Amino acid sequence: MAELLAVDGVTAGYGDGVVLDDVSLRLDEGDTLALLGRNGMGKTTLLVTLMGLTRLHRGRLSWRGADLAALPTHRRSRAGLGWVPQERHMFASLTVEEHLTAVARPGHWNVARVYGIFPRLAERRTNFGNQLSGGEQQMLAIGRALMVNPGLLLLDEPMEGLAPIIVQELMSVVRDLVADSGMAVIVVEQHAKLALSLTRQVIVLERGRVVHRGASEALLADPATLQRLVAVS
Amino acid sequence: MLGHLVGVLFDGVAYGSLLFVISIGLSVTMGLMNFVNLAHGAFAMLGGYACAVLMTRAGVPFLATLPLAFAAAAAAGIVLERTLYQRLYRATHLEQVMFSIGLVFMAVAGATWAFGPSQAAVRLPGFLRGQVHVAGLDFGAYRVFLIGVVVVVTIALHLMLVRTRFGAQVRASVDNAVAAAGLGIDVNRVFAVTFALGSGLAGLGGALGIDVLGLDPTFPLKYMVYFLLVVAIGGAGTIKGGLVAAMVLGIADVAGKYYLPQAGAFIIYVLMVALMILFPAGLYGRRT
Repeated sequence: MAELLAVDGVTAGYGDGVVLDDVSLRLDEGDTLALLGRNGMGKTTLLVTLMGLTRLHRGRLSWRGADLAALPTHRRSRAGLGWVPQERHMFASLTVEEHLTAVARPGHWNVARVYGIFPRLAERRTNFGNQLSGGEQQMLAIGRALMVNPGLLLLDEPMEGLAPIIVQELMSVVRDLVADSGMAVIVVEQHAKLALSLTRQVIVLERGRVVHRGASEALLADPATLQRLVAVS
Repeated sequence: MLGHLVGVLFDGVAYGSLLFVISIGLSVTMGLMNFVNLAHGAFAMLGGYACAVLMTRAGVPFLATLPLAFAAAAAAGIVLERTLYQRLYRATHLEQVMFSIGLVFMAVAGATWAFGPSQAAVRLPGFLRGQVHVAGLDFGAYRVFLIGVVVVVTIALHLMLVRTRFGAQVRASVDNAVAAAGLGIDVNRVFAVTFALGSGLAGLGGALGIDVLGLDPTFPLKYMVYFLLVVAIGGAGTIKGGLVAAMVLGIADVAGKYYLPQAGAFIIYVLMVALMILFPAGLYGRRT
């Protein structure tokens, strides 16, 4: 498989602060990665660093062989990063449908296909971004990211704060997406087992450093190590 | 008495319409990019002089100068945005104020040098002079025309913002610039286009306002406070807020000068203080 994303010795943070310390990873086209770690260990910071929203102190980011760090945020999205932010970042003055059309770029994903996987959004198409339930917001955040027709989907805690029934519903869609779409995916998730069951490889961060990397399946089969790394309850 | 009231309301709405056309760009600039642009009135003045010069020196009819006034101010907006304004997006408000007040002084001096210090006058076409009689009341024809133009501009702006993809991108950028950029919207380009549009509307307002506000080189200073009041009262970044605030200010100013001439121009400031106490973020402002 061709290399999609390479993160090389990245040290980054906000302002002068350092959150990520010498992080490296590689992702091929269509590959899937779980990013685990306790709260405040730098998982979200890694995703927003890919989006160009932090200060990169050291290291290299490359995307399909080109320098990603040189691009401003909107060009990174257009290059193929599909960002599903942790805070969801709904646009309060846009309808559901406008969330999709305002960011649409040509490709497989269009409004009809997004409504196809999230029929709830079709029912809500004229509602505004601030009139949605948590689950609907998350569906819209994912649908909106798909509309840029990304090569890599960045899912930042997609299940956070959702009722178990919604998590189940959303998981089945995400599972199909990850399995069938051919997109690469990085998923940050507190529910470590969920994330591991979705992905092929895993990285665990602790205080901004990589403390474990390997196959998701192997970590899933090793509850003692998983417990030690992320303290799942 | 009732006739007077209707007349005052009408003149107030006409005056408010002008304030709205000129100020709406400033509202968007401050709402979208959090940029304090005190020089906004200079674009209005540019439109005014474009209209005056085209009419008096080139014999262009008044109505035909209006789109040209828009285009001149929009073009100046694009050039200044790309060369100067965009360097200060991340600067502090104090720096933005110093920069844009500097532009105001340059605009005042430049206009004095180019057009002289006295009032510029334009001769309106016949059909815009005189009175229109409706239901036993007299309305100034030009003020009817002003209100009509503003209705058209407002509807066009509204449709552009609500019905087009570009409009959705503007709203997304206002709502959350980081998320908009993270989803591929070129927020700076959206802002540049919006800035040009706002400058153009100011230019249109400046041309329309020659007969009502007057036009001389101190225009950007004289009316700066009015434009800022529209934004402060309406809430930055909203069309509806700007429209309502401009109407409230226009009516209050005209009514104040008519019914309470001793208090005169002071009325609108009392109004501003009262409204800012009641609505600290503006009538339709975003509370963050």
